[in-house]
Amino acid sequence: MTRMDDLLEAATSRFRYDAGLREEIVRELRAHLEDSIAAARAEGVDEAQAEEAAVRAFGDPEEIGEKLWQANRRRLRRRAAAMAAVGVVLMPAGIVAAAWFITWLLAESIGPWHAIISIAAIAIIYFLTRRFLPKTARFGISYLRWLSTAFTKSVRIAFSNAWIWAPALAFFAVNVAEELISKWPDLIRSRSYTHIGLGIVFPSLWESAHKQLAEVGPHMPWGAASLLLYLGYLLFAKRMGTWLQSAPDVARRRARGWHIAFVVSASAGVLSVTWGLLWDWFTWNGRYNAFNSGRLLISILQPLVYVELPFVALISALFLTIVLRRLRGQALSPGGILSSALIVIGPILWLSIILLLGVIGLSGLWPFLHPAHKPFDMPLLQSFFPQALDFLRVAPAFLPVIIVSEQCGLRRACVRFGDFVWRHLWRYVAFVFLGALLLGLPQWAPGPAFDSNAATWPVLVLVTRVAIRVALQLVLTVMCFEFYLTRAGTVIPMAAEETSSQVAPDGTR
Amino acid sequence: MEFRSDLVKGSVAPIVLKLLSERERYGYEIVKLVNERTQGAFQWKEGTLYPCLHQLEADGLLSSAWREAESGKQRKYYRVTRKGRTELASRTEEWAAFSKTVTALLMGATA
Repeated sequence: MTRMDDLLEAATSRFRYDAGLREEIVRELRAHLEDSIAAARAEGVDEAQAEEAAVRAFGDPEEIGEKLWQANRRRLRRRAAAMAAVGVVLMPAGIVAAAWFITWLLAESIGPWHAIISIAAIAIIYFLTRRFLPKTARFGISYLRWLSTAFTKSVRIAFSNAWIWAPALAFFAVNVAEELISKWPDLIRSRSYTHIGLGIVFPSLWESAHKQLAEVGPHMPWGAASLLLYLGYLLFAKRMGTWLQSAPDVARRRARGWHIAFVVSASAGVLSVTWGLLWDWFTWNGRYNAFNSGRLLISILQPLVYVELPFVALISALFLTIVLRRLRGQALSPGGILSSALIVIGPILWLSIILLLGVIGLSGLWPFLHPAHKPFDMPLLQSFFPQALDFLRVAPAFLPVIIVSEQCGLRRACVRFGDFVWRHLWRYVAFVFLGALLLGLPQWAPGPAFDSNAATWPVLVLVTRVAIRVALQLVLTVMCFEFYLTRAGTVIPMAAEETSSQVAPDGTR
Repeated sequence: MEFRSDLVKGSVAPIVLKLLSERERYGYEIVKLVNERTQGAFQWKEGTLYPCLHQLEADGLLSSAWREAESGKQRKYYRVTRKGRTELASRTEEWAAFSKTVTALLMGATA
């Protein structure tokens, strides 16, 4: 390592968690030093002395690094918040998307033995194609560990910035109020206490929940699901309180207030749903069974992942970006607008393309799986369109991300991401497309066919199948988002980066 | 004559704004220009210019863009924003008044 490299390393060591910004600063300082060396060389000084003189004239790298960090602190925080927001918003969306897709796929066409064979087929394809995949796609236990750490950091950073959570919270509050006001008379009349609980957690799923209730029967499974959701929320609230109170940029009193609000609301939910469950238990007509619970979970996840989401999100993002740029008096260049919007929804689009290709590929096999279906006749996709408007309710959740990414000028990261996807997309598509095709093949494997109308599946079989599916979904999801977070200019490194603090004594001047 | 660093410190930002108000420039060019115009009286530590540039950019007084220089090398050029021009006018006026007051005090005349 040369003296110049030492200096650059020391001057930018505080930027180690933002590789993109660090790279830009290093580039700028390096250009300066190279100019300085070139000027000295032009005067006849030899290379080593010229470098020495340039480094000396530059000043104390640690002092400069500290001042650079102070000057860029706001920018660092905004960039960190933006990337964390993308992760926080998209990670659950990806998990839900993958969960819905594969659950539907397996429930429609594959029995328990078939699921095992399918996973084996995907594993074989993965190991056969592994060496063709970029490094970031080579998932394993280390990626799961990294994802968990990254998610924790992301949430903490995101909640330290009011730009991110305040609009989302306001949107959520308005939804809750609207739903409760409009539905309250019905709730009281039907004594559907579990619905009250579910409505508070997922107000936008109200209509869907109501329809499913008619099919599933009593309130019991809904109550069980809402209780689980609330218990999860309570656990999340407790962790959130700890994160908030230890976050560097959140006032302690305010953090404590949010913590209390989270825990109180979650506790109220648990109490309300428990009461509803007890009520339903005594009025239940006995039609409840484990399979209904499985259908219930699918129906809860389903409305969140319509294929229209990416397109509605794209249009919303474009519209909001145009408005924001206009308000800020910035030029409305098509490239700038598109890239700003793409950084928000790029990963969703990317994931959706893969999923859609998988569906289309599989639909070619539908006549073999379901004789009543024609090839490439996709009732699944058709059934989504009437519900597309529901996503207008989801789209505003992207608003804070768009605002932050606009302020941060993350176009460079977006362009890098787009470039990378362009170069590597075919590998992913090929991998998932082949996997989806092979998922259909085990239909001929031995074992009982899965009847989605049957209500008599033993709990153990159901749990085993769900566990297998969840594992498969997690692997796919982790692969997708690990790729995005590490390649699109993430601020969260795989491990604490080692930085040299050794600077020659005479170079510190 | 070399000036004390605490005297120089307060003048860096207005000097940078002034030089960039003439036309856009990159960091190394600014340092060389200052040395040239002050005939070496201002011995800036070259690296300390960059935190100043970044701070001014964060405050919205400067904007920057990477562009290819005539030599073919990529450089980060800074330019003054509208807000920066207003700030420069304000700081120039403030500096003139400050300088006049200090001179009056040190030289014994009334301000």
